[in-house]
Amino acid sequence: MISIHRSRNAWLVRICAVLLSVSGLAGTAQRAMAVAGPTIGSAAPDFVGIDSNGKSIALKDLRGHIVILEWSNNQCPFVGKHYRSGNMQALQKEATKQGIVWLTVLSSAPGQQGNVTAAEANELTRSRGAAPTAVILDPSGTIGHAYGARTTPHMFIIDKSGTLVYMGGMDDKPTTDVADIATAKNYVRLALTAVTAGTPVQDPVTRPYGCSVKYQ
Amino acid sequence: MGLLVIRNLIVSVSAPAAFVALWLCHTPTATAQSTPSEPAHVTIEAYADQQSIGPGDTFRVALVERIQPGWHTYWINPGDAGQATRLRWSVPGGYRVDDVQWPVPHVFRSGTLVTYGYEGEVALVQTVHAPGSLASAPANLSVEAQWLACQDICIPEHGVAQVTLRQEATAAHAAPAASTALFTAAGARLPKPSPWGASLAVGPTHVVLTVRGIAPHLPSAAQVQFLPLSWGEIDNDARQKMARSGDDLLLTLARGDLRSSTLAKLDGLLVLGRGSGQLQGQGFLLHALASGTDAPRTR
Repeated sequence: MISIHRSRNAWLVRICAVLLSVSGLAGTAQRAMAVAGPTIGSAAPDFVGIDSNGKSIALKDLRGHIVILEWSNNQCPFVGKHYRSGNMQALQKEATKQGIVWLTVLSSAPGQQGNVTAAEANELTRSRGAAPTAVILDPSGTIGHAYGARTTPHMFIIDKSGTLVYMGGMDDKPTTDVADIATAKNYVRLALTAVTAGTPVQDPVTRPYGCSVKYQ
Repeated sequence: MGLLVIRNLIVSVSAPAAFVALWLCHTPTATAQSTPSEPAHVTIEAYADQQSIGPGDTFRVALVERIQPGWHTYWINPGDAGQATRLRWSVPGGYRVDDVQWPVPHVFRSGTLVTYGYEGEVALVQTVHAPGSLASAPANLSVEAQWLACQDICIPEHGVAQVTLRQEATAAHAAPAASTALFTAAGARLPKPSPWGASLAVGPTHVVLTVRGIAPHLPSAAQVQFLPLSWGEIDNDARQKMARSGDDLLLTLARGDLRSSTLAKLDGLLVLGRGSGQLQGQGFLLHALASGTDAPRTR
């Protein structure tokens, strides 16, 4: 019996040590180990951005609309896959037709790949037949960091109440091959369909894949 | 759209020429070429650790990536961005090729983004099982490789490499010394099975990974890093807090994008860094099951 008690005590000590380490994080360690990026089911980080036409866009003014954020860099081959194929433009048109606000966000810093002027951004929209509601220029990376945007593309969907309901990749085929689009599961389209229907998003968090966002 | 930087590297190796070259050399060799105007940032070559194959042999093949300075390719879990190299071996009927044995990767940091991969030269080794009866003609094993080469920017590249090996009725012949050395070096870079058990306590924002019995083997100044094998489980950028409890090492890791989901297990490499004495630079494969001691969830 004694040996059983001893081992049970040892076990309890171990469990407690672990639990203490987990709960201890609520204190001092938390600041140093802050969780990066937003959380599904919580309010999407607010932002005010300037678009390629010089217009100011505030997320809080978009309550009542479903909002989709698309991080982009026109020279990234993963972005290229979805634009050369027309995949991204098709989804943009489907979404905006339903009144969904589609914001393409460019967080490439000056001098980095994918950093463009407002005029260049508009020209890219025109030449690619893209149909976002607006293109937000975020060369400081402020909006990108608020969302923990890591790749291009990296997609986020915000429901009408301002709650983040999807973050992740465009689909489940993390490649640069256009041929993969036909057989890929397009998480963004599925999520938009669910949000529009008012049903839960099946896969609210998926792996974003692509080039790294070219922050400062 | 001229701004799209997609470079499809055309691999054009004439098959007869390649066979003649292979026949003349009689050593494992390979071909990977790109058009001169679009230099690849990575060149590839294939190797085998035997020069000929006997019935039922188990041997190894390797795809070696030689990566331009400043560029890198990716581990099985590329981290916050990027894409792992993909290999597809074509082998004669009856041959079987196991999964890639991924060497311990480097950790690349760029601001808040962390990726895992390789620079310089890396060998991606796979074990091959030959069938019990072999044809008399040489066996051609070719590999189609696709990789993402990244510096500040990323370029998808691909190539084909091959080895041609004699098939013999009896014993196999050892590979040339250079090839043997390559496999020996590659083996040294592979993670080892962990001699230490591990367990996991899962909280809403963090996990504590306990590695049992490792502490006496590590100098107090040892730097230790956990690299997850899968996406989303661990925040790659977050500081990993290390503590000791008796002989155990406790690593507190911030959860990744999948933090709202149940985490039943965590697989990854424990890489022993600076100050780890004789174990420095080694990686150990950890498999930790979540214990039934979940910290209370906040949501």
